[in-house]
Amino acid sequence: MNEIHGATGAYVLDALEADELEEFEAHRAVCSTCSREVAEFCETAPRLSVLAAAPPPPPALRTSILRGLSDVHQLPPLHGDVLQERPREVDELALRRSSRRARVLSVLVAAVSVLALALGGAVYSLARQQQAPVAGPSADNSLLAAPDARIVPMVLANGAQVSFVVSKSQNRALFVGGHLPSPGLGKTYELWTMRDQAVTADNLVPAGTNVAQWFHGPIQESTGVAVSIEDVGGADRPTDVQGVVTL
Amino acid sequence: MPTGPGDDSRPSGSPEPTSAREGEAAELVELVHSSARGDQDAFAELYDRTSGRVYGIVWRVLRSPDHAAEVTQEVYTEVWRQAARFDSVKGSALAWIATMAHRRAVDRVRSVTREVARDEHYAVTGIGREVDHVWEGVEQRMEAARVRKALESLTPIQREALTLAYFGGFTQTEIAARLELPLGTVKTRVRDGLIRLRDALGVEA
Repeated sequence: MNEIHGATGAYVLDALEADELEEFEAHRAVCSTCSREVAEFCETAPRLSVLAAAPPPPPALRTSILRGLSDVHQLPPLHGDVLQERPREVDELALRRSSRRARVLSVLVAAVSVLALALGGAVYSLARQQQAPVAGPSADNSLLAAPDARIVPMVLANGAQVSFVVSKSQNRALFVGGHLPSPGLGKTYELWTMRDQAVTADNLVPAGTNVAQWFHGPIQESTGVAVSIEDVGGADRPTDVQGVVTL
Repeated sequence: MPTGPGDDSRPSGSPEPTSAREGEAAELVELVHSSARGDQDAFAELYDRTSGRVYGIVWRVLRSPDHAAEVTQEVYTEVWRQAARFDSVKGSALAWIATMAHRRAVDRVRSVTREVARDEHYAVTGIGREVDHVWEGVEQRMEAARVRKALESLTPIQREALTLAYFGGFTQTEIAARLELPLGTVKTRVRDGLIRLRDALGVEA
C-alpha cells in the first residue's frame, strides 16, 4: 500500500493505467501528503507546455470557440466543500450529487473512516470520468446497490455501445460508454431528461474510452432519458438524437 | 525583484516567482472570474493569453491538427462552462486549464489516434528546441529558457520518462517498455523528476 504514494507523478502526467488510477484516487482522498504533492505537481507539469513546439492555434478555432459561447450553459458556483479534497480542475462530481450528499460525503472523507475510503474510491474514480474506467457494475456501488437500479444497454445511431444506469429511488442516472467515438469536429454528445413532452438539456459527454457521465437533473420525476449529438457547447433542444430510454 | 532564470536556490515550498509571472497569474485568475460572470470579452482575452500553450500541448500529444482543434475547443468550452467552479486557492488558472487540456489530449490519443499519432520517437533533444520562433514575447522566451534549464538539471532517464508522459501521452507501462526499465523505476523517476522540476521552478500552488 505504501508504494501507492509514489504514483503522484505518474498520476499528474495522466500516465497511470486504469486500475492503478482508481487505486490512487481512493488513496489520495484520504492522504493529505499525496494531495499536497499532486497539487504542487499540477502547478509544475503545465510549465512544460512552454516547450511544446507546435504551430499556433488556427485563427478559425478562436472564432469558432467564441461564437459557441452563448450556446453553452454556464454552471453555477459550487457550495459545499467536496472540492477541498480535489485540487484538480473539474468538479463534475459535485454536479452529480445533491449538496446534501456532497456534505455527507465530505464529512465522511474528513473523518477518514473506512466507509469514507470505500465511498471515496467510488466517488473519486468517477470524478475522473475522462479516464476512469467504468469497470462494469463496480463503477458506483451506491448507485448500483439501489434496489431499483436498472442497467439499460443500447447501441446508438452511430454504432456506439453504451449503457444507462438509472435509479429513481436514488434520483440519479449515469451514462456509460466503453468506447465513445468522436462525435465529429465541433460536435459533442449531450444528455437529456424527459418528462412527458418536456425535454431538458442535461450534461455534456466528451468522447473517449471508458466514459462515465452523471446526469445533473432529477431522475425521480423523469419519464425518459436520451443522448444526442449537438454542436459543441450543447443545445437547448435535441437535434441529432442517438438513443432514448423510457423509464 | 525578478529572479533570473539561473536562480534555483529557492528552498522548496517558499518560492519567489518573478513579479511578472505573479502578475500574469493574478490577471488570469481575474479573467476566469469575469468569465464566470458571463463576460465574453474577458474569456476572449483568457483564450488569447493561454491558447498558445493549450493548443501547443494538445497538438504535441495528438499530432493531428483536426484532433488538436477539436480537443482545444472542448477544453475552452469546459473552461467557460465551469469557470464559476475554478478555485484560485487550490491552484493557478493556467494549471487548471493546462491540466484539463493534457488530460483530454491524452484521453483522445488513447482512444482515437493510437496508431496515427505516436509512431514517431520522441527524442528528448527535440523537446523545446524549436520553440523560439513560436513565442513572440520576451517573457515567454525567458520562461522557455528557464523551463529548459530546469529540465536539463534532471537525469536523462527522469527527463525522458517525463517528456514521454507529458508530450507523448504514454502510460507508465508504455514508457517502461520503451526505455526497457522496470515499471517501478519509471514511476519513481517520473516523481523524482517532477520534484526536481518543482524545486527548480518554484511551487506556485
